[in-house]
Amino acid sequence: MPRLELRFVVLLALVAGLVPLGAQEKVIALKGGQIHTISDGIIDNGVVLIRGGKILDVGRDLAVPAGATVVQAEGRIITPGLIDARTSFGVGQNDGWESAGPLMPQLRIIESFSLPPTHDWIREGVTAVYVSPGPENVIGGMGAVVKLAGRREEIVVSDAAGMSMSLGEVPKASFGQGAPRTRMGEIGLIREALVRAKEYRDAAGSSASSRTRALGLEALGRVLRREVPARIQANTPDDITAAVRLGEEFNLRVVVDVGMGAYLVADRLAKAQVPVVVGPNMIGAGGGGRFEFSPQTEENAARLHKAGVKLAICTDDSGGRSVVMEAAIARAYGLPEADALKAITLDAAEILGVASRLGSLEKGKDADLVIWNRHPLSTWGRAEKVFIDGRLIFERQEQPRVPSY
Amino acid sequence: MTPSYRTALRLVAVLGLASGCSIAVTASAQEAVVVRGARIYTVTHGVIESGTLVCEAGKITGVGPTAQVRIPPGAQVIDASGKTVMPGIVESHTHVGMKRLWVPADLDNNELSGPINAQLRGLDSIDTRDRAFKIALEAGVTTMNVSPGSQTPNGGEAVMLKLRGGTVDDMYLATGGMKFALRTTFRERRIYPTTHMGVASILREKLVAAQDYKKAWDEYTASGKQGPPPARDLQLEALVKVLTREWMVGAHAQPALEMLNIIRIAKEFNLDLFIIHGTSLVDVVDEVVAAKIPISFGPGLPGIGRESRVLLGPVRLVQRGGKVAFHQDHPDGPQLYLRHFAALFVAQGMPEAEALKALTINPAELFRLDKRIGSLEVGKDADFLIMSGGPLEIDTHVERVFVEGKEVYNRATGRSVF
Repeated sequence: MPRLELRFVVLLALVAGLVPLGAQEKVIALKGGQIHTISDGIIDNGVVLIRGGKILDVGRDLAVPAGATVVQAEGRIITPGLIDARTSFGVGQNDGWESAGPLMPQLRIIESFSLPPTHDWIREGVTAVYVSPGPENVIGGMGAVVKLAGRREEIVVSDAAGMSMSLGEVPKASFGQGAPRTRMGEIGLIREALVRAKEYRDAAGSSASSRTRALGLEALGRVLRREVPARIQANTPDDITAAVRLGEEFNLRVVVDVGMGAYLVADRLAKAQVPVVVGPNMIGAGGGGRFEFSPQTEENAARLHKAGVKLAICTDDSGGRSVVMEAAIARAYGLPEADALKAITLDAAEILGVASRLGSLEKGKDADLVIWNRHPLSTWGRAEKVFIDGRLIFERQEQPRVPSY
Repeated sequence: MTPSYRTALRLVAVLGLASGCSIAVTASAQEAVVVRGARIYTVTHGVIESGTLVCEAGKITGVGPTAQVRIPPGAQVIDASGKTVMPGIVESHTHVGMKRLWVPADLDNNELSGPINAQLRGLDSIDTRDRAFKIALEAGVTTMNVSPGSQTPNGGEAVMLKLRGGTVDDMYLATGGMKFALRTTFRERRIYPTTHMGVASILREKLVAAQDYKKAWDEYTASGKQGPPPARDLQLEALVKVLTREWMVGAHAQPALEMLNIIRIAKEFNLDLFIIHGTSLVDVVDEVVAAKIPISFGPGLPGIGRESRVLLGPVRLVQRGGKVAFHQDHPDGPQLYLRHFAALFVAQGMPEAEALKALTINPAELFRLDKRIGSLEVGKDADFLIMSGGPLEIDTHVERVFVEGKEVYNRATGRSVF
């Protein structure tokens, strides 16, 4: 083709890319609220523009395009959709772990996950959660990040957001007479598995065609390459430092999950740059509870934050507990308000590895957001409207009640 | 001066220094305790914007706007300006001390060897080493009903404890009534009763046996105690107390079926009944209002969450003139969050004054202790809380707790009788 015509074709293609042909997607404009971007401060009386399930723009005096659907948010607070950094959401009882043995790195929780038709958490302004394999397997497989509503093919944000590991009382009570029966047994199993995974990875260079694949070792390889963090459930100060040691020995990214006693080793965690997904304060201890939870204090998050530990907050639940209330309690016990909100938005998204899409109100991120009657961490704060991927998923019918005193 | 008095003075000095601008109070029975300048929630006589509370010899002797309250000479005065004062919270249903925190096995809460345990007393299973006693003070609880569990149709006698510290005998206040439970927990064990009809029937069978037992003893007494007395049966003796209404009955009932079953039985035997949990209240408000049954509602957070539809049950019951108290059912619901649970109902439309009643005077009435506790009125026990803010706010902390005029908990100094 002559050069002139080629250039013309290229130019046409470029122009076609800039001006999409076909129907322009509808814009939704949220107007007049106090916008907590999380990433870039608070905008009073601002505007959020949504298009195609993404945030088109956020700012003070944005022009609202003609034909946009306007949602009035005067006197309201707008935040990103909230994130619960560790749950068993959507997983049936005993479907979150394999009882055949303690080491199951090849599993992926998304294959035991089923989106409930509706859930109270949406009414709480939660829009995405990390779904974890259970704490029974010493290595339990890959956890996933999912949205709480949406089309089936769209709700999975990440199907491999963390490799579940677990220390302490639960694994050694889960496999009858077989290993592990001791804490040292738990660590021994993890170390051996990681050494096997290392050998598997190192052998990959040679005679690959004759080698059989081992899915579990491949999955652990991703942890060794630091593509995916090890999410290690640990509560006593010693279990937590054991988790940190594993990270140091094998050069892993480690996140401590639940961490009831994490504040007791806050400096160690800060030094090793190990984040903590802080477990819930509202623990029912109906059958006596787990003794390893006994260091539990409402001051956990505040003390970790003070020591410089990055943290998220979780319910470690499938319903019932509220990650919003947990953050409010952390705030009541000393975690600064902005950090408490960050622990259930951007910091959570970063720990889950999904911050390119979730956790703050920024151009290009997913349009997961919540309009509140007042600050979400206030006793009387309630979600009035919840958007996921730019779709209005929940709208409160009755006015949230606020007491008169 | 005696060594103990010297020690007491040293304690005053240490606590006085430690507590900053407010003056600490020791265990001296003679000194009056005065709390001045607080926003006082009396519960029964409204809110006093800037009020003073006077306590002498363990009782409230004055409460009102500061200008109108006489302060006795020599009183220890606590400056509570900017603070809130309310009556000590009465927790209407808990297992503190019976289901100890962080102890592996739940051994002492349910006598699982048989379905009827009327002769047993919950107080005999209470271990005061339970860390939850201190947590109860942090929660602002000053009186609690500690009850046997719900794994048997008749668990035993509950007990009312005042959180004074010490042993169960030091804390004993009154009976907490008889415990019934309408659920079918014996099903797996295949011991009678395994069905709802079986549970209802065994309660009726035992109440009828108690009627016969009472009759035998009444006849023996009426005949001038001629001849050998009837054999004593501790189980039936306890159930007679239920028949005569000497003891109230708290019955665990969650689904509507269980609630209606026990309402029916209470009517048949003229029992002084209150329902524990009443989770399905929202579906049976009419029946509960008609039968005039009070509800101790829970278990609270986190089992019943902020968005739960069952919250509407107590809201509607109160609108219709019924009585409700709240409970956490520790440890199923952690004791610390009783106030936070009450706030959930206000968010659903219950007036805050009614929610505060459900934490104080309503549970006091359930256990016939409303002449002594449950509100800040002259003549009542000096059980009260000094709080940093509104009683139902998440950010509020309970700063100091007083039982019968003595400080039992101080958040700033960490001092606690437990």
